[in-house]
Amino acid sequence: MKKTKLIFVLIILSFSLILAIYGAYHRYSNLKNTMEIQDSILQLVELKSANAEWDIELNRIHSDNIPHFDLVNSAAVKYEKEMMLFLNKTANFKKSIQESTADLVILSSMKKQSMNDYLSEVAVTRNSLKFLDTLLFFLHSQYQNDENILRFLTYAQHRLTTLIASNQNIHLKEQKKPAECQQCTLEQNEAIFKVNQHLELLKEQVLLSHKAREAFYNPEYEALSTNLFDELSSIYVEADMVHQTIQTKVLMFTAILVIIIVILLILLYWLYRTIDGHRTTGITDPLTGLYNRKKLFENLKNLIPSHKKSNSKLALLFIDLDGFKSVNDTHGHDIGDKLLQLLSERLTSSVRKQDSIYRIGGDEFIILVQELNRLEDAESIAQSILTKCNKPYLLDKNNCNVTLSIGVSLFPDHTEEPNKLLKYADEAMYKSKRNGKGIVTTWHSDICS
Amino acid sequence: MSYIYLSTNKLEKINIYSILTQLNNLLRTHALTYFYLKSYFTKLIVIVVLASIAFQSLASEPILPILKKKHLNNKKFELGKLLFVDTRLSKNQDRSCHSCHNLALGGADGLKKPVNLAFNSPTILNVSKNYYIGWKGEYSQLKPQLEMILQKPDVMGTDWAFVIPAFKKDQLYSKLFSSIYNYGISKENIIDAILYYESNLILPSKFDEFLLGDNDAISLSAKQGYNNFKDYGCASCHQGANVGGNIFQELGVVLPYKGIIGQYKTEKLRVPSLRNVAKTAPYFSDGTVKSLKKAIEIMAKHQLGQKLTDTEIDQIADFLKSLDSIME
Ligand code: HEC
Ligand code: HEC
Repeated sequence: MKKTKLIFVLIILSFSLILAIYGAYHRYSNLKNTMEIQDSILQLVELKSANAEWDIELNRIHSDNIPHFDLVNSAAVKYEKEMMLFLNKTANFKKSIQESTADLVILSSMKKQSMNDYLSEVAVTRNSLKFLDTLLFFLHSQYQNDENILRFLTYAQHRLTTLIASNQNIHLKEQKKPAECQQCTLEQNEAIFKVNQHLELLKEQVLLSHKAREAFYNPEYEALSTNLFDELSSIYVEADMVHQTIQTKVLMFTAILVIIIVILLILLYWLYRTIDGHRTTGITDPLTGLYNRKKLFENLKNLIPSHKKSNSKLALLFIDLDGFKSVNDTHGHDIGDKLLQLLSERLTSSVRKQDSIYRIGGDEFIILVQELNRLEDAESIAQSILTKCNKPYLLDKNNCNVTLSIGVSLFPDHTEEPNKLLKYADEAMYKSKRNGKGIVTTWHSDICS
Repeated sequence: MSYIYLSTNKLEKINIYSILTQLNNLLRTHALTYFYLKSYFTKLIVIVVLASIAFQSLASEPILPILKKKHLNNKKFELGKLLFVDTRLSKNQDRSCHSCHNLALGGADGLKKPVNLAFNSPTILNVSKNYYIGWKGEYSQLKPQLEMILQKPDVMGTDWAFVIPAFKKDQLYSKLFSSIYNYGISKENIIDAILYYESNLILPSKFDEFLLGDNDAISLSAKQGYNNFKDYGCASCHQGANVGGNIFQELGVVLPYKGIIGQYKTEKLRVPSLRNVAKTAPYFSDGTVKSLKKAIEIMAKHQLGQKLTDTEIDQIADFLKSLDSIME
């Protein structure tokens, strides 16, 4: 019962110790910081891939039959979301990183602005190209035989090709512009004007869309994000190193602590065992494990006042073996010892829990029977002990017959003194022996006569 | 008719990428199909190829169909709708969002410009399909724009110190808010509910049905109008899911535009969405053009340098009418 309680307390203690160490580890280790940095690096990777997707969509605007501005805009929206996440995750980092992220934000918004400019140009450029293409086709079929116009149209066609090529960074040789048409009709001049106007428009558009495109493939952006990546990686390495050292320290500390505790516990247990051993050997009989004479007087000293107080009776049964000597003589001391052990078992099982048994001599035993109301109770207990213990003892196939002679004295009826109590019981026991052995005798004042 | 190509090498790479993204999108959006297909691997290939062909044919149109939102939180949507028409949210309790964005008038107000405001009111329908918000496209998200209009005295000028106690006394609101939100009525939750309403106010049109394969959803004239719209190049600017709302242009790229009475201030604007345009007269940012046909004519002249015939204009107008949301 006490042992389980102790184990329970120990388990709880070690649990709380582990918790405390773990808590301290979490509180003082660099784990959180390291994870945050790691997180932000992963987010930067997300951001970069969102940026790449955005670039791909921008490229597609250039190559798709029908440019879908929704696609590139939603790529931009996704990029912005990743950017927000990235900003959140780096919000507590050191200043140089803050500055870099701020720059990145500026570059991103510049890129968005360039994208918007570019998309505007793409729409108009497409329409201009389309317009010119149909217009030239139309004029060609209308003025098939008009030399003047045809010369101009050939020039315009070439110019259109040059512009389309220059839109793809291919620079063709310019043709000389034909002289103003003198003989042209008003209608023809109007057509020429329109073509020229759209050619001019297209030229501007191509220039603008070049500029816009250059703006969103900004090498500065690449450099900055690479730089940011490196910086984050380096603070990650730093933080991780700090974390590692703290971790090893905590681990070492815990290991040492555990070892110390285990050693201490072992020591404590050992100490407990020796002290307990000493204590029990002082008051018990090594052969039977029953209490000895010393403990008898100790107990009597305590029991007498307590019985006085409670006004109850205390009986002392003096037990002596009849025929033990002959068992020793015929079967040897081994069997004698075994007999004593068996007897002490029988005695123990035949008394109540609160009663105590003492071996005070070779074959002499005392039983203190507590809290009695009447003398008869003591006698009946003694009687039942007798019937139990007078039965034959089977020891190593030898059947041994011993009986008990019991003398009973009673506190306070016979005496109030411990020594006398013992003496009277002894006298009563002798009376039993004299009266034929194997019986119970209660002391009375004229027992000796 | 495409003039501008990257080198063929790059083009191939991009096409592979685009097919992969399409596959990915398809699988992601149709998780069920995905599981179904997983067990029938051969069918996977067939269906994915079919679906990507379908997607390709959609993607080759400059206008993409929109779909009604599924799995709406109806309670929250209804709450947003109540707030949308609640005049208590305005400074003098004389107007609500609905005053200037009347759903019966195609989500706008039919006025040239609201008092004290610089621009004509745009439609609120399908507004979340725009990539840029407002005529100048200053916002790319609805939330900051909503916070701005609630705060701006000339639009709403919400007096929160009045609104919150008033709503708390309102039994219907108390019930609705506490059943939807953890902390009941608060500024954040009111904004959130309006936001939920306006971002889910997506109403497809007959034209979307046409794009999704119902050939008879729109009239022949509207179909021809759509072809004109593409051929003349309107679709270069008015395109995408919202037929606009995704790039910036000024009015007058080919021929400068002075306005009906010569006061038009040319500036870069977000190309407006043309969904519900037939119902949202008057037109343009200054709201000076009353008829749709006039607006089309001006567009063709100043943005494209084209003069359209009356039939072409009628056809384009019919096409634009087919973009009206189907209201239930
Ligand atoms: C006084 C009239 C008025 C009221 C009231 C009003 N709006 Fe507007 N709304 C406008 C105008 C004008 C614009 C265009 C402003 C601009 O682009 O600068 C606009 C633009 C918008 C836009 C952007 C539309 C687009 O196509 O980009 C949204 C969304 C919007 N309003 C929502 C609301 C909501 C929600 C409320 C109620 C809280 C509201 N409005 C109240 C007049 C109004
Ligand atoms: C270069 C780009 C561009 C092209 C091409 C273009 N538009 Fe526009 N469109 C705009 C811009 C920008 C506005 C807004 C101008 C304003 O309101 O000040 C606009 C406005 C409109 C409006 C009025 C919308 C409203 O709610 O007020 C209509 C209708 C319209 N366009 C139809 C057309 C048609 C039809 C074509 C083809 C003939 C066309 N657009 C071609 C850029 C373009």
